[in-house]
Amino acid sequence: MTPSLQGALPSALATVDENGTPNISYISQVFYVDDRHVALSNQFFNKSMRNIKTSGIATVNVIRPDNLTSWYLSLQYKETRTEGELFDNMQMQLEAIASMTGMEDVFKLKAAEIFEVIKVDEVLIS
Amino acid sequence: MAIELNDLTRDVLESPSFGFIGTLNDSGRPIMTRFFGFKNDDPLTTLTVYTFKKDAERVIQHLSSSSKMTATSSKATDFKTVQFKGTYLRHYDVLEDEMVYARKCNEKQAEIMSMFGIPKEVFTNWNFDPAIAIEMKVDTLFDQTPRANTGNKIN
Repeated sequence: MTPSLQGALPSALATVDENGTPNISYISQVFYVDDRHVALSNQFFNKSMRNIKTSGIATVNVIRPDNLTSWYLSLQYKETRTEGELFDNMQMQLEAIASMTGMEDVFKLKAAEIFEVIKVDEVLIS
Repeated sequence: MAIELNDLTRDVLESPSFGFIGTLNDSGRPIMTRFFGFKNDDPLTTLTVYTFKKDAERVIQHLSSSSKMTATSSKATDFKTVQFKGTYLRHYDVLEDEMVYARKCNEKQAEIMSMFGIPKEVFTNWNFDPAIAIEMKVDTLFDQTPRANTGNKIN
């Protein structure tokens, strides 16, 4: 699964609002923190973050860029970090992703959102 | 009420795209499911997305508890993205002409993604059959293209 956490392909993030309506947006980075946690890059997903702060839950899809094997991670929100080693590492990786895609001006990391991974499901295409 | 398509939405709907259906499971957790094609009317009232039958069973089960759903579609070339929010109307086995159309979309998508180094076979080996069409009534569109200030309402 490690190649799917390099940020080569954006990840879809599913959340739910206070009215029970699902929402899907894209994020640049799902960052490996440790065996039980990942961090999502918060650049511009205001609506999604509102939903997460309310419900505490999300599901993210990560994809291996070489063969498109993908996984759904069921997540539980833990904390937000705006500084420190993890934040700096994510910022560096995000800058690398931005320079590859020519989007340096819009890929500014606002926060690292830490989640516990509750469940992992591999997506079988056919 | 029918929604007039703006340039972004038309662009996404008329280009090789990929996307996800969003539903809620019995615990209220948001779940996403990949779809491989879609059709729409113009002006927009309904959107029909095509998904693999084994995935559709889960989606339909979710929709029997909560009919609210979303479909987010992204262009393969530049990641322009639109999110369609609305409610579930019905589902049916994908018709042969829809399957032919979906296969053509898949071939175009494989062609484009091969330019990014992803082997065409990753897409063309997908076994579409059997597939299920899920039709939704669309209420609201959002520009979900990854960039600053994304998520703005379109209609």
